[in-house]
Amino acid sequence: MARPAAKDAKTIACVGGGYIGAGWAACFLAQGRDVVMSDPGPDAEAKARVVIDQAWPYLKKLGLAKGAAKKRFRFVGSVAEAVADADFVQESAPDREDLKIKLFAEMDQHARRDTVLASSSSAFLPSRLQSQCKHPQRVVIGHPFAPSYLVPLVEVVGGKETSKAAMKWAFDFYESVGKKSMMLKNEIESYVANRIQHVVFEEAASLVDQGICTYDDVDTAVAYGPGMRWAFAGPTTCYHLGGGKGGIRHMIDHFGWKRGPKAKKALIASIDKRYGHLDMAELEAWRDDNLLAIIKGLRPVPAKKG
Amino acid sequence: MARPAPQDVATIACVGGGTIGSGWAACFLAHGKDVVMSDPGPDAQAKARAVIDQAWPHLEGLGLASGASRDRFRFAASVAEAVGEADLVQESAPEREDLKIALFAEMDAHARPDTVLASSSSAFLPSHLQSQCRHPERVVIGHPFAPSYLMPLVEVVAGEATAPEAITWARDFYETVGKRSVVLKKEIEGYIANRFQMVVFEEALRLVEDGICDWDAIDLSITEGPGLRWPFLGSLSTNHLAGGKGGLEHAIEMWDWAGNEESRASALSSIDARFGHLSMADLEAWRDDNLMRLIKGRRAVPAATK
Repeated sequence: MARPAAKDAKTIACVGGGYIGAGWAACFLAQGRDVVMSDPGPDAEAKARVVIDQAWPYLKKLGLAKGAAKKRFRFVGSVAEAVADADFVQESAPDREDLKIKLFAEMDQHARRDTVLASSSSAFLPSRLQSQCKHPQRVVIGHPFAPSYLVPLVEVVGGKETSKAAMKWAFDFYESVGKKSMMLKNEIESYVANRIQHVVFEEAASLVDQGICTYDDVDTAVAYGPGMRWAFAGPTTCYHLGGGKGGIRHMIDHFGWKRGPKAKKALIASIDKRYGHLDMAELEAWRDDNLLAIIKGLRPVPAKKG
Repeated sequence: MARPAPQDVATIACVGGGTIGSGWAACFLAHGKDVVMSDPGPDAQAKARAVIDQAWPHLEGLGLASGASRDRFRFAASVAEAVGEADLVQESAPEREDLKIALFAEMDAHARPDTVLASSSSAFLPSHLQSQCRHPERVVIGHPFAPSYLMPLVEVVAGEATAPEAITWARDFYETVGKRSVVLKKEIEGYIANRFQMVVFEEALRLVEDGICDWDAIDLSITEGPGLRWPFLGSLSTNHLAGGKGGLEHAIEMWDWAGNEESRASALSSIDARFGHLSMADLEAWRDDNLMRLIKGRRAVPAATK
């Protein structure tokens, strides 16, 4: 049986049913897929169902696909049974490399040979995870963000042996279940978004260590400052908006560019491609609409009772 | 005349009427204050009124204070005239240190001796800006984020000669005009939030130059991933939620802690003070509710019209 078109993937195997795997299951179910899960842990099925039940009201609010139902979830006794008939496998076992390498070898052996096998790993190189597989070309990273039933981003990463076709298939599949996927051009440990989170946290820890501010201040500064813009405008977009009428070109002239000309040219081209059709007033109006929606929409941490 | 209580400030001088200064003026007007502006640039008044007009519908959306009116904006011919009767001076001149030092000396000479003088500078040390003042104890940094009429964060920073009372007063004042202030314990160039933005941008540059991903993907990796959590969680609390039932303590065990022992203890107590009264399930429900609000509330960039 050949690999189905990404949007036609009907049965998904979730190998590993912790918070991430069960969140994936909820996401797939909400998009009208059948989900088969395996997990050797005690009470794994009951725990996974709790997460799915927790996720479901939110997924309903986002809109369920036709035919979507929690009862299309099935728990099985082994990895082999879970993956055998799957059109796609999403592995979400604990983040230990040795364990994942063995698990990929096992999934590789029991899944159809063209089924894409994706790992939820948040750090490991796909070249390592696919190293014991007979069909490594279909192994990819498909890294989600917690909670995996709501946050859209999925990082798709290929290893040395991964085929372009498998990367493309995974990308299209994630888009078909409502995710926003991005493909890395080369593998790197921890991929992109977690590296960016990490440098923010490192800078925060350094500021606290230097006695500049407290951790409460760190969260306030992120949440009420740049973080509020990052929910809809990424760092390059914010940089462009920071330049006023002159946009990104003004920012680069004003602050200077200390790095290579290639990245600078690519940055300007990326901004032009995404925002070239809008004048700065239109872009600012879009920014302000979003900020207003966020400021009015967000709810503070629930207060202490009594 | 003694310094009024922060909530009783009636008249504010905005020295410098560019995008940041005019945005401040709009914010103050919306909170029912009188605003006097000075700016030596050509057409400064017309440009400032354009920004205030652009901001006003958004400020109406947030809710105007009783008596708030754009008619309460007045343009003065000189710095001396603008600051003479002011209960607070917010300086937003171009970001050049020599210019700001001279300007602070001038404002210091003409304002009442106890009026707090705040700079919108995004980088300079307040010790430098106050260095030519006769009353340096009332000079502070009050650094806003663009657009200054909507973004809540204000970083309040003291120089060597700043009095603690001036810092407390400035912090309390900004809160009365709807801002969220963070008071730095020590001055540092770039303060806090811009340093976070800088390390993010540097990491992004590294990833692009190393051929890991392109610039479009950088923005996507933030806006569809961590950026959705930052507006209500910030950096540290994101880690707390990532730790599952074990919270931050568990997250720290899994990763290399970026800070020293003391800051580790302060991170744990910061989380405990803010979230200790909530179970992880309560906290996750709050997170998911906010994620839903953001995902449903935000708007995509307007498409190109053909």
